[in-house]
Amino acid sequence: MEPKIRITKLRDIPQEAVMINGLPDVGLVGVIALSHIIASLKMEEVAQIDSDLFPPIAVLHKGIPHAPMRIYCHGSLLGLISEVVIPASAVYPLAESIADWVTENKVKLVVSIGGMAEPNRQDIEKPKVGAIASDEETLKKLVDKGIQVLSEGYIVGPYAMIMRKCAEIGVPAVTLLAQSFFNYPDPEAAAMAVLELKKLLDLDINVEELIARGEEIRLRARDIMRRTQEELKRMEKGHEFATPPMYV
Amino acid sequence: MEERRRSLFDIVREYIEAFEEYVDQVMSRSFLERPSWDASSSSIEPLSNVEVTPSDVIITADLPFAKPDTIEVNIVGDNLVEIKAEMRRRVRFDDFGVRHFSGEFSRFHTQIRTPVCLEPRITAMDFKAGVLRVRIPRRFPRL
Repeated sequence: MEPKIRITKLRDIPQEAVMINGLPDVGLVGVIALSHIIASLKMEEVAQIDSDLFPPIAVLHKGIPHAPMRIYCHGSLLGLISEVVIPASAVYPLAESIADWVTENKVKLVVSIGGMAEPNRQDIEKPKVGAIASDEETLKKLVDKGIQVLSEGYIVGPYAMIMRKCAEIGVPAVTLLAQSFFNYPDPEAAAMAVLELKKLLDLDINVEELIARGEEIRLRARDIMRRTQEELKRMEKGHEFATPPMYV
Repeated sequence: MEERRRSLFDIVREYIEAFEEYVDQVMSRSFLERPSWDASSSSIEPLSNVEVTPSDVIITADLPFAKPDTIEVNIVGDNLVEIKAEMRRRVRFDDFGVRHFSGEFSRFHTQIRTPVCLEPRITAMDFKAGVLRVRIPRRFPRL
């Protein structure tokens, strides 16, 4: 049977790389952060991801159509970004395919960047970033690097499944979640997530430009935010506000 | 168990409710697909959100580039709020690399329907980090 998600290689993929995920989620934090990283490092497109489960969309960049979900590369850094909302029905097969691809290409660390909806975000000047890890050893590394760990709660959506799949296949994975608006694009939260990422990886990226262009980014990202919001409701993203019932 | 006989009023009410639900579904689908801008009035529809608490309705709207002193909020119906604001700079499709549409935008305009009725007064309003927040008391039916 043909896989539901197809990852097509366009160029050679470096082995033992670190992969950063920026998928549409709360505040579009991951998409904004990874777009900034891709532009700052001038990363090149190395693979595209397609599926019958995605809307039939091609994204035009400089007159050339591209798959809306793509993988970029710079040195031993990979970046998986999506310019379309991931339908709730595609979350499981996407996580499976990413896990297979990560294994096949011997990716050594998967880092997902996202938002953590904060009802009082408007009153917070500098959003905090929390992290979760797929295993004890990676968790310890986060603590050693001074990254705040989120110990209890729920995460919902593609990152939840990517983390679980990575834990299953034994590939270290981290998700960085910045306090953000739920349904407004949040470039400041993205900037804070990038700063936290720099504690984890050796990246030569500054976030001043990202913050300076914040209003423009918010205006540009309105439509994808609107569609993301609809899909997040379908994924029951509001579950993240809930407190976990277990205490052991 | 004997089933209570429905009156004609019950049947008509159920029919109207089903019809309203259908209209809501159709309208929400078509709203989703319409553009979030109107070149003829140079206006952009901002992202907005409605939160209902036991006593109030809190409406927020994302207004990047808005001039704070031009923001207007009006309660224009039992459950309809209008937000208008001028922008500090004009924005063109060209600015976003889009060439197949033309238009220039200089203001925000939206009408937001709330799921509950509102008192015709605003009790709090602030504009921080480019996000407008308005608090309006809910109106409850008098017993």
